[in-house]
Amino acid sequence: MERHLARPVDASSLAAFRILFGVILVAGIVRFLLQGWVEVLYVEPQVFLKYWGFSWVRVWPRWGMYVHYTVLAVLAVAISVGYRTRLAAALFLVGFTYVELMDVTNYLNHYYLVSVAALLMVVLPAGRAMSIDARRRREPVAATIPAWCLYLLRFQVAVVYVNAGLAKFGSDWLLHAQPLGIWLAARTETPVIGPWLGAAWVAYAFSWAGFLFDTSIVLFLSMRRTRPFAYGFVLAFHFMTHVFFDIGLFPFLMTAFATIFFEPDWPRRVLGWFGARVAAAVPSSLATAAPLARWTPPRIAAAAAAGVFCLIQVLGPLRHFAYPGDVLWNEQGMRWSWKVMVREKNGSITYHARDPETGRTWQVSPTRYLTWRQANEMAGQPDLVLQVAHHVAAELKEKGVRNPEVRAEAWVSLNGRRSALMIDPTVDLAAIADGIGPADWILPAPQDPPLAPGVLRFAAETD
Amino acid sequence: MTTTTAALHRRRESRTTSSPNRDGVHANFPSAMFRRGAVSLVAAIVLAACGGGGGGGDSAETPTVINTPANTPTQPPVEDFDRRALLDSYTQRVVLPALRAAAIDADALETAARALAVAAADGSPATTEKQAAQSAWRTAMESWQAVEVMQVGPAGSANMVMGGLGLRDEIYSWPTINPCRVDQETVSGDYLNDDFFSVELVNTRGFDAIEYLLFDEGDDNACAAGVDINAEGTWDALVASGDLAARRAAYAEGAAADVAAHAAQLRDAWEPTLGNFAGQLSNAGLSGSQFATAHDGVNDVFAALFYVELRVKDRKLAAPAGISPDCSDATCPQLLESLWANASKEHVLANLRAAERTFLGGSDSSGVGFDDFLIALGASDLAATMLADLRAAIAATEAVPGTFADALEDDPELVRGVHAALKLFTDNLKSQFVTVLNLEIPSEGAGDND
Repeated sequence: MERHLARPVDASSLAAFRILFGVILVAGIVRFLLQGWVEVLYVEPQVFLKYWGFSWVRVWPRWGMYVHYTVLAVLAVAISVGYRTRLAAALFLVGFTYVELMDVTNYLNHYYLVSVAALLMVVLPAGRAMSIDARRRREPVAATIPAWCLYLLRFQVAVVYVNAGLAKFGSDWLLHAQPLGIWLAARTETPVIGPWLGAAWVAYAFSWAGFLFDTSIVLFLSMRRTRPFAYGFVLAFHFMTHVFFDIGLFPFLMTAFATIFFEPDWPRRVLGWFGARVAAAVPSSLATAAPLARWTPPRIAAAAAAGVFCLIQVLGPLRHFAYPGDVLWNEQGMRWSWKVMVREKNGSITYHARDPETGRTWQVSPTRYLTWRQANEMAGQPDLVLQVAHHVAAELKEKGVRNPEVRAEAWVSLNGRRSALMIDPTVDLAAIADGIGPADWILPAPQDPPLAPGVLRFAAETD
Repeated sequence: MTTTTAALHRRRESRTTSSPNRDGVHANFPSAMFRRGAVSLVAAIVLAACGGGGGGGDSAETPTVINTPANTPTQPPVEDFDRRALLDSYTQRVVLPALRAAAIDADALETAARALAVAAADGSPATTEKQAAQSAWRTAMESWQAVEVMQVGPAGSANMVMGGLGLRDEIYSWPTINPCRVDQETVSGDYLNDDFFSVELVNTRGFDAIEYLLFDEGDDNACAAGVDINAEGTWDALVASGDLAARRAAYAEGAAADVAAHAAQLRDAWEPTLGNFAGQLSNAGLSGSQFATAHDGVNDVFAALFYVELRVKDRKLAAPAGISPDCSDATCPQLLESLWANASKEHVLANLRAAERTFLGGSDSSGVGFDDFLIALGASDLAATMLADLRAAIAATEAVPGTFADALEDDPELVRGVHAALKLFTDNLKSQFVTVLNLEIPSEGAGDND
């Protein structure tokens, strides 16, 4: 086992992973800047909602945010070309993660994926091949890496897919074809197939196809015989999700990351198809004859760290089982668990504030502190509802109310269900501290089924 | 445009003509259609292999007759729901009639204001003409309040709305009002300059400035003591000269002419034989329309309907009624809309009735509206509930005796009752309604989603 993990393999697939990762990051950051999202997400808001334990994270002034993102773009270029790869990846990891910590309402699963991948680029010898670092080395290192590097990356990709699949293992997705039914019904104007997208059977087909894809694709990518076909499905699946849902970098990242399942020398083979003469990175005499390194303390520590990392990646997405109720409703254990695109959730939040000394009451909208985008994001997330309640209390204290009480009337619709109260309206949220324990002030999820998909057809709405 | 209004419309700056989703990335129309065409080809092959054609022919596709309570839309369920029919109903039965009425009433206001200016030019009180001008303002303003809920296309900002021309703010800028600036212009006489109404900020013209000029009584101004017209004594000099009424009448005449011109411009921008934005919206998703999809058009109509949440519930009702922390007292009548004509109740009524017409797709249930859309998607209960709640809010408003200012003094719970009734409607608007129809809350479109 140890010899298998340590055997040298071609580093070019890791290099391709690095290059694709870096290029996608550059494109994503440039897009972010050109779309004006620095203004919308970091300049316009007056209040930023924080992750628990990270209230100290500050948002830079306007010019600072542009500098921050520009530096990230430069670091992404450095990663893609393999210049001071580990340093660039480390700085990018810190910089990108920091900006994501600025506002919880900006959380996206694929931003978390970027941070995880950046961490792996720090740990792994990603600059060993097809990089400026490789060219600059005075004593060239063989363009090989230990096999465990590839297995670690494959493990990470598997974590994403499998958990995304497990997230779909629920009655809403499989038995009621929601939220896909809602989303597809809004896309019936797609040429040719549009009229079908409003049909119930299509919503069910897409739902089951998505579930089966996520839960099985890693298996088929892992087997040489099925790998080409599996990657074809990867391309088709992510292409369709990109077109239908425009979920930013996610389809591109997963399409690129899935190449790690190919043979380690696949980039050299591809270059060979185009006539490039590329020597094998691993002479056959060395392929299996690598001597085992001694178990020194640093090596032991590295192995332990890798073990901890893998344990976190496996157990973290499952932590929602530690909380009672439906995670899609109470959101406890929702983030960092790869529950990608499994709910359509919107809410109307009204805070009822009261001065217990005078009996004076107010109704406060979250938009008093947040932009509409932020308010819409927080409406379905109880911990953010709690956080905004604290802002309401803080404002009233500034106005002279000594112990303001703040209760939330939170009407939320999940996957088309009738709106139901998400938060106990009798609980004074101003007196509740945020934390990671089970929140008994979150009401149970509604028991009625979601909206039935495809009740009626849509008329032909295209030319 | 106020910050909130800017936020309402900023979503559109990042939107071009791609499919309605919560991603802020929107490709240009040809690129988006090419991508969809490509995926359509792939999916069509897959779907053809899977079977099921023409929208699905199995029993799950059989149209379901929805039983509705007696006070809900009685139109038979549409077998094949057409979003473009909703947009056409909205255009023909809701927007165009409102814009035409607003333009006619704005012309009438201009005529009445001119008569007042002529009569008051020699310093006479011109009481009859003033009352006529005030009445014309009330009528024109009530017509305009319907359009406030229809800020789709030309009424919206050019930078933020599909087809936006910024015409709303040229006509009415509330809550951005500044009577002190109007007083300053009255003293300076700059309103007589040819380019005054084209260069000055909206809070020195428009319906709100006209209201102040026609309805404010007495010789006091709205400026603080340190402002130039008070500090330098020019206001007192104007009052002493006896020209104040004549100047206000002349200023009102110019402002009314400006409003009438912009109201006509807005109407013409929609008229099928002129600017034809009506055609753009009705044909959303077809070749030649700015809207890539009918769903995009529906989303813009929904965003305009959000006026009842942002403006009516939160600003026109919650703040004056002391519900919002913006009001430090039990009530804040100074935060009411229409401080001089005391027409805030009528304005809210006009807003809510326009919202009802938007919801129904016309003045009755014969149009195709959001109610039909909800019914078509199997959410008939929601359609019935929302319509009932909206009508209850209208009834609650009608039940307030006198003006909102009177009610805030005598029985604030009446105004709070209107707020509570409207909140039932907007709670569903922001939760189940937007979920079922897969619409975008204004300003949601910036950023990716997963």
